Amino acid sequence: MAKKNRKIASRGYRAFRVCNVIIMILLMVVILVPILSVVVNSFVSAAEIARRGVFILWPEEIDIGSYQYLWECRGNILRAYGNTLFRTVVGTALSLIVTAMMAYSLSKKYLKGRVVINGMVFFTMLFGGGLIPTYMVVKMFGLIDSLWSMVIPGMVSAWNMFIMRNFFYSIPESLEEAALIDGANQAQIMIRVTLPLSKAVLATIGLFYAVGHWNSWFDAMLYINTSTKLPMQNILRNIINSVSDLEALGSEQFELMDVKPASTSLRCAVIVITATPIIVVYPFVQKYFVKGVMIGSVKG
Amino acid sequence: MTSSALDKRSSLRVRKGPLFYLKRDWLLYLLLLPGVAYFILFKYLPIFGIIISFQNYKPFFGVSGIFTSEWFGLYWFRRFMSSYYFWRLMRNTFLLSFYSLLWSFPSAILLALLINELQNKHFKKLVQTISYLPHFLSIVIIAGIIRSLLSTDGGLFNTIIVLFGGQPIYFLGAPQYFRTIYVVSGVWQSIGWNTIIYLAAIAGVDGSLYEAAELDGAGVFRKMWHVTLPGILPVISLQLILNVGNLLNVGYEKVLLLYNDAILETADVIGTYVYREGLQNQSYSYSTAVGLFTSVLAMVMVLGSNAICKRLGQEGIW
Amino acid sequence: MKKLVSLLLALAMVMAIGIVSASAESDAPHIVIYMNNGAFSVATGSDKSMYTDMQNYILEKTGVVVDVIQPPSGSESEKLAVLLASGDQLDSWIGSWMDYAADGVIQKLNDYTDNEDYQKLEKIWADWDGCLEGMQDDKGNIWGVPRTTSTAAYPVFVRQDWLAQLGMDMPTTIDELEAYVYAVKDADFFGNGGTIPMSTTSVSDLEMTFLGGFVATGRGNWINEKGEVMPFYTAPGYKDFLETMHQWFEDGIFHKECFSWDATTLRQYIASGAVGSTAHWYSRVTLENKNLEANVPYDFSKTTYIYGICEDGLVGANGQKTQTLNGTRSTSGWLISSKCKNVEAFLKFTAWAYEPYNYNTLVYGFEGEHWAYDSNDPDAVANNKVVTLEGGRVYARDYVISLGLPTEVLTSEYYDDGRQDLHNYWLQHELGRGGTTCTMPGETWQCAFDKEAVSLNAPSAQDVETYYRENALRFINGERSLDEYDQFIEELYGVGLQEWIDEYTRQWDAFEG
Repeated sequence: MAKKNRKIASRGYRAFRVCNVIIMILLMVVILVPILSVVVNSFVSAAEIARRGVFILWPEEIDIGSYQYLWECRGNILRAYGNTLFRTVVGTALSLIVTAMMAYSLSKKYLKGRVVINGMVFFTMLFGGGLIPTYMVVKMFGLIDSLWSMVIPGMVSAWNMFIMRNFFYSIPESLEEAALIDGANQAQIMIRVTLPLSKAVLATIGLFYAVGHWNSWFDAMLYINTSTKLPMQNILRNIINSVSDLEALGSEQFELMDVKPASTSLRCAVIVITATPIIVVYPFVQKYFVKGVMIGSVKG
Repeated sequence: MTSSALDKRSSLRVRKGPLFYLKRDWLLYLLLLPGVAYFILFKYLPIFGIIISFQNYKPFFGVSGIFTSEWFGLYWFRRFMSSYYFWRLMRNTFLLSFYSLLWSFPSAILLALLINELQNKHFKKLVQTISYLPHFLSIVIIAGIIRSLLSTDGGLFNTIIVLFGGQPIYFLGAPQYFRTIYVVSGVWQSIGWNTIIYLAAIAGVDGSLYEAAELDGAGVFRKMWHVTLPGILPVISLQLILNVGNLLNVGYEKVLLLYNDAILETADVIGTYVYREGLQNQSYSYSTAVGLFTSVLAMVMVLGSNAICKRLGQEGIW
Repeated sequence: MKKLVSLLLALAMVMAIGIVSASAESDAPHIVIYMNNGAFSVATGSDKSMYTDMQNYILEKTGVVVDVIQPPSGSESEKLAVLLASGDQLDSWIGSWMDYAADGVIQKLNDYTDNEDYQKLEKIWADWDGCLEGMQDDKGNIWGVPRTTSTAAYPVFVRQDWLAQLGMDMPTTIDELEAYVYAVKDADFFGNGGTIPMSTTSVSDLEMTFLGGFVATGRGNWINEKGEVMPFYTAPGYKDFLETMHQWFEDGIFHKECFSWDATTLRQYIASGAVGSTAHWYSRVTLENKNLEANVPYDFSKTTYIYGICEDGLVGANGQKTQTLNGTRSTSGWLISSKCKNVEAFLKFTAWAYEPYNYNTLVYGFEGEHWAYDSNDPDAVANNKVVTLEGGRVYARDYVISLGLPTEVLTSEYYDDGRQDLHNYWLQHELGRGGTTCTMPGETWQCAFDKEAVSLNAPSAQDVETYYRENALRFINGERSLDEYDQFIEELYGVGLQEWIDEYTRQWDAFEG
């Protein structure tokens, strides 16, 4: 039926589709050009960047010095990847489970006390204890300098929890009622009915958590003292935020440090190797964003 | 109808004590337990740290110092509010994030709607993947790209301006351009990433509604307007409320990397002000107090927008 | 997909268990150092085995187990704050003793003045003016080991090839320099109007480089007729300085955008060969020299390097050196925690680290694996002439507690063609000559002002500073007419200048009396 309608669809619809594709192509160009310059920069020598500026789309000469340098440090980089992988996989799984449980309960409007808990969770989005008290709590649990300090202190994001809860709101209650009549308890309903219908949001929030873990550095910076336990993102920051930028930010103490700053090409190279894995993984997650996951079951 | 059925059941029996609900919904409370425990332990336990904004606290006092530091009352708050630049900082901070929200919020929704209309599956995937890429770039690199794009020595924008017969513009040295630069680069970086949540919401919209609309002869825009948008409105309103809470939270890192003394008039924000103060004198109490001050303001704004959303029939936060 | 996830999960678990670092267990004294002295050269950190081997080597030589915490770039102070707050063992870090001494967080070294290792350190630093004094308070308490020296860090580098083309000599006065930059502007050696006669990035750069030639006290506080301490931007002559800079700016001596450059942009211009002279921190030139030489053809038989400086320091119309001495009497250095149980061990390790051979080892790595004495020089050991070797394990200079000019002047590094590395040359020969090439920053430089007290007693001090910086720039770039300079001073009082003056005067009087 829908197909037939589309066939009769006016010329206007076809024009819209063409325009849409054109807009998307333009958008991709606008986004890709600067990114391309980052990738190209990683293959350009420092002298050439000095001569031509950082916005280079076509190198005069390909220089893989930066990658060679990173290859020399591969021992540390691979270990850092291991740490990142740990926090991403374990952290995402843990976060997703706890968040889903919480969001599911709070999506039940008949649950007494949910308003209080919602308010309590929301309050933490605006107010926090600050660096040192939080550090002390993490220390109290014996997590300092442990890989778990990257997983547990940031386990639930209030933002993600609220989003997931609102998605659960939209699941028709009739479905649950059927299960309830079949004698299922609330936990069984969540596992058998709600979660299978919520693949899209689970995939989305999972992606948010995973990318969040992949990109985060602040917790590891605070809680990890042993450099071999640092994830890749912290190594990236050490290279990117080399002393030169800090001194430019005005602190005279940094002026006295004479470490040669990382070259632009090294900075770009380390960005490329840090971002590539998660970008490659992304299309596999994408299949869960398919339209109409829910339709069939609702109709049935 | 589960909840209403349950509600009816309970309302028949007049008022019930907490024990009744605990017994009835013990599984739900059990599911809540890990999350609530997390928030209490890792968010509420440290929250007493806010006290230091009323003291003169130094980090090396450790945790006991939070209770024993010299009491300063409202000193830091008064000090911040009596700063010569207080109003300029408030204005810049608010406008910078307000404009960011104004542009990046609708643009992400629009992009999600457009991506949703793409018919070719592979092309759709390609667009999505590419639009997320900027999310993975470090802000230092983005600042570098912005500089080179805007440079008067062969920067892309000025090359185009000159090509069309204009005079090169010194973008980063004139206060009137800073907000545009900040906002546009912010949209560039986040637009693709922000579509994810809307695309997931669109995926959840009941397909039969589209079919019904098509039978009524609705065109693509009418379907967007009457089916898709109402379908994702709960997500939109939630996102909006959450974003309002961040209106005074301009990350200082990006501003710090782009601003200079010539454009402080529009570029100096609360974050950079506190950062500069910290370079002179590491005062944790001062920065905590300023943080608390902005949090309270954010709280007011969120309560307001939450109330408005509820008035408009949307799900608020509570 | 499920399989993949569980596989990854299992893998991650195994790794988490596998990564349990074995800390060095021994009876030897153990010290933990937060190495925030700018030593780390490889951001990825040392190879694990390299770190352990070096730790064992130090243990073997000094009997001390040293552990180092690498500061995270960009978040050094946050990390230090939580380390200090946590109460865990942290024996030493770099900071200003003024921030800690009053609260009993650090201990004084007066009890160790008889210690042989302390005396070694004292002897080394005694050769550097004001360094030991900077670490002491007015009661004679010694609060740490120095790290920094006062330096001539803002020289004017001039392109020697362009001087030759113009038939000019190295400028020795501001007027000669002015003639040179205007000639460079006209000649446009770089082509297409891309020549930058003089590079700079901020008003403070210009002040450090030139203010001594206009203001008697350079970029330092001055004392007015009432005996009050006044900031340099109110000093007689400051207006003339602004006038000259404004004229240069108008005439295109500076790049129009220079005040919004970051360090990376500046270095690119220098390395591209577009810059005729410089008015900023020296290392932008010295560290970029290799890239510059790759881009600019030059005959090194005439002068050793493309850029040169006026050896005796530029002189202004007032007969003074134009550059202001940087970092006089710094109060920052290695502080010792009051919880440190092994001060002797710290001193032993530190003094050991200052010996040339040990310094080489800590900077480059092991002899034979990472470096060797230059075999072409029979006196290589005496001259400490070092060649670095390729192919060793990655070593990130984790342990270089002795970093600083006193050790840096000891080692010579060379380019492949036999010329000394410009940066190394500069550290050895020029940076420490501040006393003869610079103006002293007023007489108040001897007093280390307490910044915390300033912040508490003069809350608007930062606003005053911001107001001055914004407006000084507007005077230079012509957004504001210099006729309004007096009005600007009035406005400063409106922002809170009097508070500033009162507090600095109070501290100065306390120091003097």
